[in-house]
Amino acid sequence: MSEYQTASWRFGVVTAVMAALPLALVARMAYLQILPVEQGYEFLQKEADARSVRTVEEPASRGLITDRNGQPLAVSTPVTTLWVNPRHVDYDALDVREIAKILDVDFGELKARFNRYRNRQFMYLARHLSPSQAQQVLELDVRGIYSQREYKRFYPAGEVAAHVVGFTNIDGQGQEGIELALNEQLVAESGSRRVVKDLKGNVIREIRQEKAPQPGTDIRLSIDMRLQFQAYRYLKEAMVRYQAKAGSIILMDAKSGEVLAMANQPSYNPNNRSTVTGEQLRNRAITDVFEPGSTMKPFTVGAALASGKFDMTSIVDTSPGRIRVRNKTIVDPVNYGEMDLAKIITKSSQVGTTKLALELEADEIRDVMASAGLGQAVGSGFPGESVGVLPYRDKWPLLEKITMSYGYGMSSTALQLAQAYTAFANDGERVEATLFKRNGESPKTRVFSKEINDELTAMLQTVVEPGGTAKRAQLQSFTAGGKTGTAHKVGKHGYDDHRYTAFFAGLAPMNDPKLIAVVVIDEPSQDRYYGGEVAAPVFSQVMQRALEMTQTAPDKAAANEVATL
Amino acid sequence: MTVKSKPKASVVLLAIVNIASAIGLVYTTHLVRQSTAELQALREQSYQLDAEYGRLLLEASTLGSHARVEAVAVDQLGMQIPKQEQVEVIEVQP
Repeated sequence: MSEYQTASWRFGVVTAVMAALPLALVARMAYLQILPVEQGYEFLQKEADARSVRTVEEPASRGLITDRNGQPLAVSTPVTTLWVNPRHVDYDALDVREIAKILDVDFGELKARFNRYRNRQFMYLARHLSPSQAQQVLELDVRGIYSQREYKRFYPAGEVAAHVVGFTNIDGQGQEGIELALNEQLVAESGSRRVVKDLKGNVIREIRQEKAPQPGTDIRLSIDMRLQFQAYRYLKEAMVRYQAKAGSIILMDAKSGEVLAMANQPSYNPNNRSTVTGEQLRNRAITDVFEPGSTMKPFTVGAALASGKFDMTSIVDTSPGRIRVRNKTIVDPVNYGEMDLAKIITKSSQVGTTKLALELEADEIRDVMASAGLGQAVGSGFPGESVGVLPYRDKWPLLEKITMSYGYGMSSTALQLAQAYTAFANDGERVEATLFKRNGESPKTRVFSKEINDELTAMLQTVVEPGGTAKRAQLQSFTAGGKTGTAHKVGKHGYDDHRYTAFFAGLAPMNDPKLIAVVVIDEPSQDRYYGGEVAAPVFSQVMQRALEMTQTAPDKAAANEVATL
Repeated sequence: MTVKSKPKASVVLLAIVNIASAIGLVYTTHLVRQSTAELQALREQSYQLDAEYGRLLLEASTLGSHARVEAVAVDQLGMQIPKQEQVEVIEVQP
């Protein structure tokens, strides 16, 4: 009996203990996995994730810059950056000599760098390596060396289009040119993904994309690389020939205002900028202003025709080849005597232009120049674009009106000058210039009536013909027209006697003008400094080649005739 | 009897469904892992191709630079820019 009783009591204890064990287990499990306690499931989950969940960056590439035909001018190519966490490095196993050999750097220097950073947590080993070169280092399998994927900007056109395209810094931010002007459109935002990685670092599961990578927008410029190259080459040759300090060329589509080529000297290689100076960086065609001088005379003559006070038969007597206005004497190189308006342009007569201006209101001249876009921003959006100066007065001092009539006392960029000359190619309507490929119609502003424009273009054509000031601007197989200009450079004490800017603005072919070209040669030496001597031959070379390359039908008779001139 | 056997059948059914779903889960996880691995490989390939494209572009721009093309045309192939008298202008009837 008593045995039974004992048994029943023991049984109870055993049952209780047996029941308590799984309960304890359940409680522990609940503690670890369900209950929101400290060091509970949240903590454990976090610790687990910290060992396996990673955020990986997805680099996106910066927008492409191309010329009008899609030829790349700025491309982002993937590169690899190697960095080191010096605290993770096993210095006994580290073969600095081998790494230095692969990276092609000085062994001693690299060794010193490793020592200097020994107690830090981050050190760049090498930035922007080619992926294959980086792979060689990574294959050494050194602990503590990590790689990061980045993009590097590469400029296939090099120095030829450097000023227009510009460049970015090592972190992919635009510093110059279009790269800077349109940085916001071009810039790419890298995305990120949360992933689970295994022990070997392979991604085994994607959790989610936190941010989608945003590649930059591609930009298509109006530049035509074939023409750009020709323009650049002839300009560079001219620099050597005239030993000039600087120079610019613009080739513009006469009908659409699109800039087909814009080259400057001195230039630089955007892919290797270690020795670049500020002088080389400037896109002079847009940032530098000069007094447009005689290239403005056709606009004054246009204003004279529009005023109704003059017509094509009007005769201006320029004898004795000089004229005194207030206390300034304006002279022609020789006494041209009686001239009609066309001859004033052909010979570029200061006195003739002055006599026209004396009969006109200053605002009549100014309005024509203003509608030609002078003194106003072209709106290229280009960093450092100059606006130039076109004076405005309530009451015009006489001398100021006169100097303006032949293009002094004002200033313009090469781009503004090219834009102004589009009026002669579009029946008197100026087209807005652009650096980007144009879709659809170009905005236009009327400068002259069609009739006056026809008369002016005929005058411009005589400039390059025998007897004109720019015979050397004539083309081998196309008719051309244009106007020379020469400006004294302004020094510390007013005009500098021996420093000049020589330029030529012109268009061709004359029956239906297709291209506008502006050539600016800054400070030519060797005693030749007139626009007709220095800039006109460059115009002739560039225009002839450009028209050939754009498949324009020659409109001038045989070349042997030209050769005899 | 019938009352007793009914729950038994549903328990068996549920057990089968449960095991099937468990195996299904394992299988899809396996598929996901496979696809993820494939995706990784493709991403890597896309990166490599991108790098290759950059390299080729560089090469193309070096070989195709206008200066070089002109030099080859003139020096090696003996080409020249046609002179005025060598050019025939052909009117195209629209």
